[in-house]
Amino acid sequence: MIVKFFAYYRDNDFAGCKEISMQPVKTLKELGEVLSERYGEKFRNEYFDATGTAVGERTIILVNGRRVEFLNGINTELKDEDTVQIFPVVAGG
Amino acid sequence: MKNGYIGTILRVNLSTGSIAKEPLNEKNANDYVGARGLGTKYFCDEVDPRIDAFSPENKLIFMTGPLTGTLATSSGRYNVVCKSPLTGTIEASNSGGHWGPELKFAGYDGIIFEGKSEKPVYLYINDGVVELRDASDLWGMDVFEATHALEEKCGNQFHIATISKAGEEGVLFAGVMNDLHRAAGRGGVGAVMGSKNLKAVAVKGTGSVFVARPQKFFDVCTAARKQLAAHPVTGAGLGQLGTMILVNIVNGVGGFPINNLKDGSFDTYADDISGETLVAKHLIRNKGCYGCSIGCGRRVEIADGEFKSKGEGPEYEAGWSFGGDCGVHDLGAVCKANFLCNQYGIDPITMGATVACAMELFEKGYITEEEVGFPLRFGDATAMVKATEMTCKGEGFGKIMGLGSYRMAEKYGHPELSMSVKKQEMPAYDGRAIQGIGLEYATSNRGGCHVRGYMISPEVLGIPSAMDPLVTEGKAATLKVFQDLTALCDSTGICLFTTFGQGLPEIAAMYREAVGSDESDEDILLKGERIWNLEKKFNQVAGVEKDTLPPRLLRETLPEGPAKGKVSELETMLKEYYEVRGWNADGTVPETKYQELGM
Amino acid sequence: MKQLIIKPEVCYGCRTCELVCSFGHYEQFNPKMANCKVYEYDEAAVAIPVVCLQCEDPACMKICPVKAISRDENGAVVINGDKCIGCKMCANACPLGNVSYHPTLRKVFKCDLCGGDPKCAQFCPSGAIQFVETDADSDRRAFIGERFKELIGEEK
Repeated sequence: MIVKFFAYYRDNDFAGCKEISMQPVKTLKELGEVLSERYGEKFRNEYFDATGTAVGERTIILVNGRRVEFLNGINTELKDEDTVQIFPVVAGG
Repeated sequence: MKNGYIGTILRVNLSTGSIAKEPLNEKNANDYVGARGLGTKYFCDEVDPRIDAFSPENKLIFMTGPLTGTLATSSGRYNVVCKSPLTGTIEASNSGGHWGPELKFAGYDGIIFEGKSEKPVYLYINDGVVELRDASDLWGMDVFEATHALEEKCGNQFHIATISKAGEEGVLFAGVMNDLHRAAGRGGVGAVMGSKNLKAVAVKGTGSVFVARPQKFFDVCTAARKQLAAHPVTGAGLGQLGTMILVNIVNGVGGFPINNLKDGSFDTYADDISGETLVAKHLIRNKGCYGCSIGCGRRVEIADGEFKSKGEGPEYEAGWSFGGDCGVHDLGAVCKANFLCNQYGIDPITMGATVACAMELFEKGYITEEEVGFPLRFGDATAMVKATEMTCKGEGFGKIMGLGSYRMAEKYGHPELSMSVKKQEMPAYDGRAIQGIGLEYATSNRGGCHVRGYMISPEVLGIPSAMDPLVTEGKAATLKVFQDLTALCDSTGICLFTTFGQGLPEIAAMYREAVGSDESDEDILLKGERIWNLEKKFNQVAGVEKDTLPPRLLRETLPEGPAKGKVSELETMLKEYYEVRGWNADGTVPETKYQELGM
Repeated sequence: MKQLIIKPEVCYGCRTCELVCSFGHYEQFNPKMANCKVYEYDEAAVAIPVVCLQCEDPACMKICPVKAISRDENGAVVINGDKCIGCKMCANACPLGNVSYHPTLRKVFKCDLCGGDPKCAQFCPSGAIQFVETDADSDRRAFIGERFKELIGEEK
């Protein structure tokens, strides 16, 4: 499974890299737990919302290019061949 | 006046040389707000929509809004209004920087240029002193040369809006550049300026802008500024990362068009030209327009290599047009091409998309190496920059590219390869992967354009809330509100980027306290709808083609990515859109609609 | 005691300070009436906000022939408009050009720290103008140290 990070998620106080390949986990929630364990509280506070049961308001997660709001949110199931992309809320134009 | 407006319009007849100061039409200002709306109203009242855009009958209007140059959020904006030579539609091209506020400080809400000068001139405005001066020695200069020469002549406190040789020679997508790097970029307003033999407007002012209810205005502006500062996009993201940060996420959803929209995902190359890479490797510092708390502008330097250069930008759209759309993933080349566009005052969206179209024509064998002068293939960074430079300078094949992609492709018998709507190139989002933006392109009153109702906000960024980009449901109704709100925002004189962090309540509040109105939010939004319908009315009389998209988006499916197999479901959305607009099923506007809007 | 400090390295040239200063003093938006000014140099890619730094030994105050200039309880060097005769000596004496004469208002003007809470610092979006305790500036000192390190260090 590939996880890609963007914008400040690449900073050293978050993931500190652009991309990792990792052992498959079952859901996005589990992925968040594993990554937060690895990267710390700051990461957790952005990845999850305050209740810990949804994606944080300042974060956008795509699974295979689909925004997880249109899949099954934080409970979206993941497969080994999936690519997960994690962005902060950004804008431009 | 003490209501955000100055109360004076400058009317300059270039044919006779007469300069008149006339009182602002207050009724029109009330009904059409300012900048884009008010400029369009003046234009539509005075100009027959059927005229040739390059005839002296076309007028060129520079107009500010009631919030321009005040403490309102990001209030540095003005619009240039005329009939576009590229699209034949009404054009209101929006620019920031410091020029617009300075015009108000000099004592004018706007300038209406009429006719055509016999010889090159520029307009000198120093408070009450307004003169047409000889610009023969400036003719032929690029934006930077002309700006510096005018600062030398007039004084370095003057703010300069100018065109370059591209505008003088009628490149159909030449813009007006102010404060060196800020552009009223789209629709060829600079070419219209050039057709009038008007090189530049130099302005300096010492006067004031007053608002109707100062304390309340101060309070609502302070609150709006705090709100923007607290928002992750307007408070941090846009300033820190710039607009190029969109490359990866738009590519992520499969909507970053590649190779003249043949493909929809730039695979691993996207990151090479991303905002992250630009910040990490080339950003020198941020720049801000007047009164802006966001500061998304970027001073960028390519320190070495083939594309060694420095300048401002690129913004996301230019990053895409010279990057993904041309299959180029060399960020240095992308920056260099963008800097050339600033220097020569041309629209980088149309420029890059025209090069991309030429690349497809070349690869399909419809144009030859002999005609271009060198092989022009997707992915060739050097050829892309060279093609851009030739167009900027009006050399060789660049003369043909200076017509824009539609006329170029038509000349070679393949107009279907122009990725344009109403002859203006669509920007950096694929209408197949992001359905609502396709509807926006098709219905935009100035042809292919992303800033007339930025559907990317809900469909990709989730602002104010997320909509699924692959479906059509609800897009028409949302787009209508976005288009009306954008028309309002543009017309007040504040920056559209503020709407990532604020909405109608904040904009309406600033407007009310500035002009001294007690209208409801809904009444104020209605002005936006009125402006939209006025633009539409002009286009109808002008005989602009119907709302549609290039055949590629309607018939060729996306070959890969999350939107694989999709085409734009435009017909479905259009039908719904005309309904929510209260228009006829064929997209024309019934008289009753105009009456209902008090037009 | 707090003081205004400027950090040109983060200024991006939006001039909000000028807008809010003129509005705070005159309820109108007019950068020519502002007590602060931003100078921008395109080629060098810098913008520098210039504000009165409320000198310890103010030349404007010393030269004023009618003693219209004094220091208030916030540490601001202020002009008493009732006493001022408009001779403009202060504007001439200030070595930093931070006292100006406005032809329309027909009076001299300078920064008065807005009575203790300067709006330029409040509204500056980038932190280029800040109003901070005089001893809170050690990070800036560290910044200067860094610059010297870059200039004369041998790390490369």
